[in-house]
Order: sequence, then structure tokens, then C-alpha cells
Amino acid sequence: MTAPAIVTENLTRRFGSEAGGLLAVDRVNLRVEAGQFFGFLGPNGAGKSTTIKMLTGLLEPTAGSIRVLDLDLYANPVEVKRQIGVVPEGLALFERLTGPEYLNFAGRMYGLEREMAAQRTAELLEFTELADRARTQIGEYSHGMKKKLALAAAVIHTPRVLFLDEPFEGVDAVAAATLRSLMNRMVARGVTIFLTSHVLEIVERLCTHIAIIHKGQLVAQGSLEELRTGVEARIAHSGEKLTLEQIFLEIVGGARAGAAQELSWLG
Amino acid sequence: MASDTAKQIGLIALLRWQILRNSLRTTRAKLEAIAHTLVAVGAAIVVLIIGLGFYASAFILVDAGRYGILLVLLWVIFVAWLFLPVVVAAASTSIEFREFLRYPVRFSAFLILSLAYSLFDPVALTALFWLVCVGAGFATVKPALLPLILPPFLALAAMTLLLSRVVMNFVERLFTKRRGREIFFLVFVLSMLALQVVGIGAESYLAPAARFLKTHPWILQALPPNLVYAAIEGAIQGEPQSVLAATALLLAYAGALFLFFRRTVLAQYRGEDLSEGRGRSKEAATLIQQGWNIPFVSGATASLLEKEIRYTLRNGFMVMNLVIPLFVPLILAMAESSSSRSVPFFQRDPGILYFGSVAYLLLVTMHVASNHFAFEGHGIQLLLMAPVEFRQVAAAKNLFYGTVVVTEALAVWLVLAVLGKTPGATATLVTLAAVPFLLLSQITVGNLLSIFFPRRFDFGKFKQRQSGMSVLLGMTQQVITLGIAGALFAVTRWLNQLWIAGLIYLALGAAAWQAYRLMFDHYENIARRRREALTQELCQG
Repeated sequence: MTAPAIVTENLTRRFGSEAGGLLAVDRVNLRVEAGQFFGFLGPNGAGKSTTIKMLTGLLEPTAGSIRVLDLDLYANPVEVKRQIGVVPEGLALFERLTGPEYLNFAGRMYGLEREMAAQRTAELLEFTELADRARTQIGEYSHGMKKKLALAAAVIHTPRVLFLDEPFEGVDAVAAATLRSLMNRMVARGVTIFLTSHVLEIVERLCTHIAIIHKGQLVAQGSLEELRTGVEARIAHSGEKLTLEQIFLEIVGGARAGAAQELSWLG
Repeated sequence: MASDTAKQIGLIALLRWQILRNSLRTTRAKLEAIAHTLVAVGAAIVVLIIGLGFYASAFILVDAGRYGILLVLLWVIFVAWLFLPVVVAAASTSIEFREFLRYPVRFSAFLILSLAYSLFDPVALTALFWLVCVGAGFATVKPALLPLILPPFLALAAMTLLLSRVVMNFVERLFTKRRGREIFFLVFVLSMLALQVVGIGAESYLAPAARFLKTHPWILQALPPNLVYAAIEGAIQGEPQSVLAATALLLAYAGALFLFFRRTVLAQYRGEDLSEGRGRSKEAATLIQQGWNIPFVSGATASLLEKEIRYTLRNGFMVMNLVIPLFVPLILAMAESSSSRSVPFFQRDPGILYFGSVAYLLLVTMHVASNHFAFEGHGIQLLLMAPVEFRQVAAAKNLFYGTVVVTEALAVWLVLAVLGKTPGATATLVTLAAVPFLLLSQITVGNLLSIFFPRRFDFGKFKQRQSGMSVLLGMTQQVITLGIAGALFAVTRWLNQLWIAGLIYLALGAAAWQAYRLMFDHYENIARRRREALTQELCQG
């Protein structure tokens, strides 16, 4: 039996003091099976980015444990990092390198030989349609180009688990299609993708499994069908299939009563 | 409308105060504020001492009736006010008042803020203080003439304030484009060198210019410091019309500059975009080159070194830091050969010249070591996420610094040899023996400062300031190690036993190596604890 790709136990992160600090992530127990396309959702400030930072070694948990591909992240950080790829919130780009220089750099940092790094760099630049900007420094790329490059760098070493923090934010339809295409190919080859996004339509279309975090706590986890069945059992609905957006709003309590009475001065 | 403008300025002042108050919430921020205060107090003491010098000079000169030299003092202050802001811009902080444009700020409020911004610049305050010192020195001897000389002094202050703002606006605009920055640094380096060379052969280079100015004296007379000097002369000789004429001309300059300044501020107010534009041209697909292969180091370390070198060569400030130390011995040696004056002490012995040049190159090239993640930006995330130990990243940076310093130390020796000032074997070996001690102590402290007090810098951006703690501790370390090395060199040379210094340097180098190893052993844990602060600081913006 294949080991799960990601398992967290009571994962907790507190910022500041015990008394007055902020409990950003509160005893989260996640389980992501190998090969899943996993969507991690939550409203702004729910703890998504904090969780993904802990899962990728950018942030130390206050308590709890993380296992990636059956390895304890904090006992074997280098071994775990070798097997994962990450597109973090800030994209992790060196803005004064050119695209090829950056991909080469990323490849070699992840242990690829020079020849292999150069070959994959060329292929990834072609795939992401960045080959014609090979001499341009990354600082001069558009936002969409930067996202594509960051994704290319995250996959250059053939990771087994890919973490993507808001990969579609600020990306146009053309770049989004390229990103989706790359992700689908990776999942088809057995790679696990762990993705956070606010674009629920895309998550609904791509992800097979979903977890929802709200105010630091995991409030739902399962396949999309399981979440849908759970919500439909709780509320009265027209009989039409609930969309992910409806499920999400129902779970995090997004429909606010009395909203019409607020800000009456706006007209 | 005037009350609206006042309200808006008041609101912005309140906003600045709230930002300052909120920025002091953490212990680290408080420590930073203390360090900045200490550095500022140190700088203020220097400014005060120089100001007292200006006061005393003006007092003595006026008392002795040697007014002519007052003109030199006025010129020094005028030039300092205009050019120091450009030179120190990288080390001072910026108030991004343009961001207030997102609010419905009136143009009058924006204009006043823009002027206030230039007045609160430390260099402007310094120059203004020195000008007051010169005026006070004059007025102490001749108090009766104060009402006469006050207007031209005020007019000079207003004019210079506006002129410096116009110059800074121009430079800021130039810096928004990469090509502009590159041209600026090229011109800056060349002009620094040219100044030295002109200074060396002043008689031959400047003679035609001096002759021209002699035949056209009105050019010099119309320059701002000369106008103030003319007003002073007029006041002393009881010719108020001269004072009036000089003041009027200074005010006319100020008026013209104000109109120019207003135009540039208006352009900003109307939304002039100073950001770096994106090139739209398509490039031909290029063959992808393989990364560098460096013998004896791993692929990751080789790629880190490659990245360091690329980043350095794309950064004008860093290139300047690398180039200038090579010219210092050249300039000093040329100055000696062309000067008819007595040869300065440090030039009599090429060994001293070599030691001094190496100490200088360490000072100049290594100051970046105390904030060596400054230019990584979001790239720091990749360094933290990659499957390498973080100390490997630091080691690659240290290796880069070591390579630079050793290469430059040898290059400086070659420059001296080419100039016929080859340092003796003992002086050469002793100087090179000092390098490990100086370099290792600097990078040991630098590695820790870089991780404890990181500060993000952007390429070519104006007004960026290093952490106050980093400046304070880094400077302390440099003063101590260079002080020890310099004192040892001087004493043993005086005793004609220079080799003893070499032995002591080697012992100190061994101790510094132990300290470096100790730091290195703990670096991974320190980095793990500090990674959050590191990413937070470097990824902001």
C-alpha cells in the first residue's frame, strides 16, 4: 500500500505570545493520499498560507507533526525538500536573473546535473512559452509570466509532491490554461498536487479532494462528492447539484444575515 | 481651501506619526530605533563639530578682515548641499510621499509636502546648519550688519534647497530605468576618477578655464555663493544697493527654480509613472547554456556562486565597490609623482601603501557582507526551500567574498608593481597574512548580522537604509579589527620588526577561523530559527 503524500497531526502555529498572540493554525489534521489533486480552501486569513509554509519548511510549527511521503519534515528536511516542489506566495524568484538562468539555478539547487538542468530548462521554457524572453530579466516579466516561470522551477526536478499557493491569482486566461495543462499532466503521472486558491470554479474543475480551513481550524475534508453530500443533508435546497462555491459559503458561514441593513448610506 | 490644505498636511503628519509608533512595537524594532539613534547622535556630533569649525572660521576671518576666504566656506556648503544627497542617497530612508496621491490630496498640500521632504533630508539640515554657523560667525563680529546679510543668506538657503530638489528629482527619474542607472554609475565612477586626475594636474588642465573665467568675471560673480559674498562685501563697505542686487538675483534664481520644481511636482501630481517600463520587443529564442562548472565544489555551490557573480555584475553599486579599490593605489601613486609638495608619510613606503590599499579594499568591498541577503528579495524563499543546508548558501557567499578580496589584493599589488612601487616581500607577506584575520572576522560577524538584522534592498532604488543594529555592530567590528591590524603594522614597522606583525596576524587568523567554524556549526540552527523573520523582511513589498 502506498504511503500518504502528506499527513499532519495536530499541526498548530501561534504568532506572538500564548496569551495575546494569534492562533493562525489550530490542531489541523490533514491527510492527502498520493496522486490526489488536493484543494485547500479557506477565506482570507483562515490559515491557508501559514499551513502551506509549514508544510514546505518555510515556517516552524508551534506544535504538531508533518510527514511528507512518510518522512518527518523536521527530522529529514533536506530529503523531504528534494522530493517536493513549491510555488509559494511570493513566487521565490530572483528578479535580476533571466528566465533560463533562474531555471538552471533552481535545477542545480535541487541536485540536477548541469546537462540535465540545461535540457529541462529549454523544454520548460518552450512549454511555458517563455523561450522568446530568454534574455529578459525576470523583474521585467509580467505577473503571468512570473507565475509560469515559478511553476516551471518548481517542477524542474520532477517532484513527487507539488505545493501551489494561489497559482491562479492575477493570471490571465491564457497563462492559466498553460498552468492547468502542466498540473493535469503531472497528476496523470502520479504526482500529488496540494493547491490553495480563491478561484473556486478552477478548484472544482481540477481537484478531486478538498479541505476547508476556517479561523485556523479544519472544518471539512474529503472528496468533493463527500462534502456536497454532507452539506446537502444539512440544508434545504432545490435539488440541483450544489456548486463548490455554495458548499464553501455554507461551511464557512459566508451568507451574512442583515447585510442589507448595513452601509445604508451607500444608497 | 487653505484650511483644507492645512487639514490634509495635518492628517499626513498624523499618519507618519502612527506609522512610526506602530513600527516600534517589537523588541527588534526598538533595538533598531536605539541603534539608529546612536548612529544619528554620532553623525550629529560630527556635524556639530564641523559647524563649530565653520563658526570659528567665519569669526576669525571676519575679525581679521580676511573676508575673501568666506567665499570658500560658502562654496563648500553649497557643493555639499547639492551633491551629498546624491552620494548618500543609498544610505538614507525615503518618505514615499507620492503614495499619498491615492487620496484626494490638493496640489498645494502635495507641493508643500514635497518641499518639506527635501528640507527634512539630513544633508539639507546639515548644510542649513553650517550656513547658519557661517552667518552666526559673521554676525558675532559685526552684529550691526546682521539685518543686511540675513536676506542674502536666506535667499541662498531657499535657492539651494530648490536646486537640490530639482537635482534629486532628475536623478530619481534617471534611476527608474535600468539603462539610466547604468549610465549614472558609469558617469559617477568616471567623474570620481576624473576629479582625481584633474586635481593631480590642475595647473595644466585648469589653466585655460581659469583664463576664460578671468576674461569673463561676470560668470563667477553670478554664481550663488559669490552673490552672497558680494552682499557681505557690500554690507561691510556700506553699499546696501549691492546687498539688494545680490539678494534680488538670488531670489530670481529661487523663483525660476521654484517654477521648474513646481512643474515636475505637477507632473507627479497628475500621475506621471516613474516605474520601470516593460520591454515589449520579442526576443529571438536563445540556446540555453549550461550552468557553470567550478572544480572542487558541488553543483549547488557552483550555481550559488554563479548567481552571486551575476547579481554583483548587474548591480552598479556593487560593481563600483569592486572597481574603486583598484584605482586607489593608482591615484595615490599618480598624486605623488605629479605633486611638487612633500611626499605624504604613507606614500614613502610602498609597503604602507599596499597595506593601506588592502585595508581600504576590505572596508569598501566587504560592507555588503553585513547584509548579504539584501538583494535576494523573494528569491530567499527558494534558498530556504531547496534541499541544501542554509549554511551552504552562506558558505557560497563567503567563498565569493574571499575570492573577491584575494583577487583584488593581488590586483592591487600588480597595480603598484606596474607603477614601479612594488611593495617589499616582507610587507607583501605581512599584508597578505592579515587578510585571513580581517576577512574571517568580517564574514563571521557579517553572516550573523545578515541573518539577525536583514534589510531588503532593491536594485537601483534610491534611499535604502541598512538596519541600524547592523551598521552599529558592523562598524564596531571593522574599527576593532582594522584598528588592531593597523596598530600592529605601525608599531612593528616602527620597530623595524614587521615580520612579528605577520606572525601575530597568522595567530589572529587562526583564532578568527575557529570563531568562523563555531559560527558555522551553529548557523543551521540559527537559520532555522530566523527563517521566518528573514522571509518576512526580504519578501515584503
